[in-house]
Amino acid sequence: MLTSDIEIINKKGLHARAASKLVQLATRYKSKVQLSRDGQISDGKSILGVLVLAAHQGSMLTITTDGDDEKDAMDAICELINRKFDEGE
Amino acid sequence: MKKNIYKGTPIAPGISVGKSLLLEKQALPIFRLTLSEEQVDSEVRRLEEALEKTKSQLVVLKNQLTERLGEGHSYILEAQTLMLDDNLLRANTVDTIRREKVNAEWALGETASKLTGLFNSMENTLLRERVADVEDVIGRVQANLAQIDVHRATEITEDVIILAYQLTPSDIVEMHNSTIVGFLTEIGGKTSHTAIIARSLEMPAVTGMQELNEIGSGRTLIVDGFEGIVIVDPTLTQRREYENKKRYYEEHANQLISIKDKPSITKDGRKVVIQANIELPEDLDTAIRSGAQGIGIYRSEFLYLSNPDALPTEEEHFTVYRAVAERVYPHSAIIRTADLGAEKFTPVMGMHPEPNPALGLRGVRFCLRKREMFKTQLRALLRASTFGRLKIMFPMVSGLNELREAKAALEEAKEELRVLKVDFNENIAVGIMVEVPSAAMTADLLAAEVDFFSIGTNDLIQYLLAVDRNNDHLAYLYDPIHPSVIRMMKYVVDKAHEAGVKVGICGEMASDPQYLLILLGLGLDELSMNPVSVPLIKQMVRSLRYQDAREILEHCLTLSTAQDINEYLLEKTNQFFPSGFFASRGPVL
Repeated sequence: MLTSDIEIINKKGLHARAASKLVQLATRYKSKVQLSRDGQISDGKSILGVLVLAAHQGSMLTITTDGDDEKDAMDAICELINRKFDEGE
Repeated sequence: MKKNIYKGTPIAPGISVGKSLLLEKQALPIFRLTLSEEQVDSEVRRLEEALEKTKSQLVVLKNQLTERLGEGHSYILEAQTLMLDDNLLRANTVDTIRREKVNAEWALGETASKLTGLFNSMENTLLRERVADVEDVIGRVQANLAQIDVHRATEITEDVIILAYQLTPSDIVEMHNSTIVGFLTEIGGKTSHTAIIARSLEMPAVTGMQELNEIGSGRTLIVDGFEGIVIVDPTLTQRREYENKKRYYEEHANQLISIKDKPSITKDGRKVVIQANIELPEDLDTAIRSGAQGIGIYRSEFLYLSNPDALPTEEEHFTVYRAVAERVYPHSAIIRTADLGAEKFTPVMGMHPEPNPALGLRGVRFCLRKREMFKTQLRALLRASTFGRLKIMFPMVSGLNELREAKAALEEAKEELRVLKVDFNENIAVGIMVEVPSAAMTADLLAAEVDFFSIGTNDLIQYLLAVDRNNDHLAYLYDPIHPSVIRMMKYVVDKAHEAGVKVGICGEMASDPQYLLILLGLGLDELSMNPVSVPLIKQMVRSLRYQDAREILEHCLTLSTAQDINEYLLEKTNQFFPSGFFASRGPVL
């Protein structure tokens, strides 16, 4: 199991478009993916769960991946967040 | 023969023929049914089929939208598709069916309330607004469970007439450019935003229709937006009659257009500037074609409403205002700063619904609270002011302090541009909408600190008479020529003129031939109206004498009820414009 803390840096935060991208990416991996923010824990493969985190620019998320491809999943998700979800702001 | 003619209130002129399409916005009634043990599996399958069906509908819709508008607008559908596979939705509902042995509709309803509860508990307003997307997708699944065809405006391919309980401004913007040719709604008065936009899109609209469900989808309709008549499955004779009527209106319109380059001046030589009200940059063409001498009000809200996820940038504002300034030159264009509020908030503004939006945080009150957003618009306006003749107008000003505060914000915007050494017109004219009674009654004080007034009768009348202009039950009380309204307008015009300030009017009243004698008699300098009404009003102005209008106004001021004034005006109007002058009894052409 891997855990890592990351800051949401894109301007609009985890809004519908960014959340969709994150969920689609997480779903590609077999590992369990969990996101948590301020004590609220959500399944990273659930769009509703990710939206409910209400993460905005500057929010800190804790990401947990657990499974055979946990390293790949973690890397890919952190990269997406750091690429600001390719939103070209 | 079965009745096929319905009557409502005409709110936007024109005649259209198309297929009816009832937008199912209201929730379906959901009942709880208890299942036997052996029914449970098939119920779960039924749910899964409905989810899959919804998914494939969303994919189709998404592709169409992407084709029309590009990727940028279809992501909501992407998110909604993901929701259908989301365990919070799918697994929870399946679980409820199995655990409680209930029907899929009920179980889904339970899931829906849990999810909306969860979303509503979020502190982030922007995301809280997403609850509408969740409700929308669940509504689609419910409709599929009930095997109801869920039509959406974006799925339409033939000429259609939209039937809806109520349309929001953004609904109509979304429908713009599609194959929609008319609107029927149950609520929404003559001066509602729906009506204003329907007119600017030149689509007939009829409101106050109680029989929308009775009419339903897929019927052929004739909509007469002049008289408020709707004919369902017309007979051949009715069709012919309306084809002739339509041709007659079009010819009449052409005849009026032919006077577009003639001056707008009364027989005894008083100039009255006739301008156009516009909502969308696309309306500029219609406005220019109509012969309007400039723009009396450009309602800038659409910049804010067209993208619910982001505020317009300074560049976006600037591009639009510059285009308006350049197209309208040598005439002037009055840009009204955002009159947001009431039903016109988008999620990104982070505002909550208010119990009494008409009296709430809106217009300049809202802008002053969102000062940076306000100054973004002001800087863009100032920058665009060097490309033509732009004027700035603040909405909903209620008194001197608010005016000074708004002018201070403008001064800050100017200073910011000076620091950046950006060019703008230092002497740009600044005016206010006179639409709050407290502003009207202090017109003398306000006139000393502005360059112009524009009386916004739509709101002024609703505030003065305490009548919600969208409430059909109160339509009979919404009287533009109530003696109080005329007195108040006279006070505003007189005080403005004493201070040497020009006064215009930009409410719907300006486009109504019935009220022209009064408006002219009041001495208004500018009349601004929907572009389609410009030629008719100009023709009328050209055939009247200012002196007569003044005398008629004086007499109106001695009458005690709106009814007396109406009758007197009708008599006078008929006297000056014998039958045949107006193409219809409808208010505008």
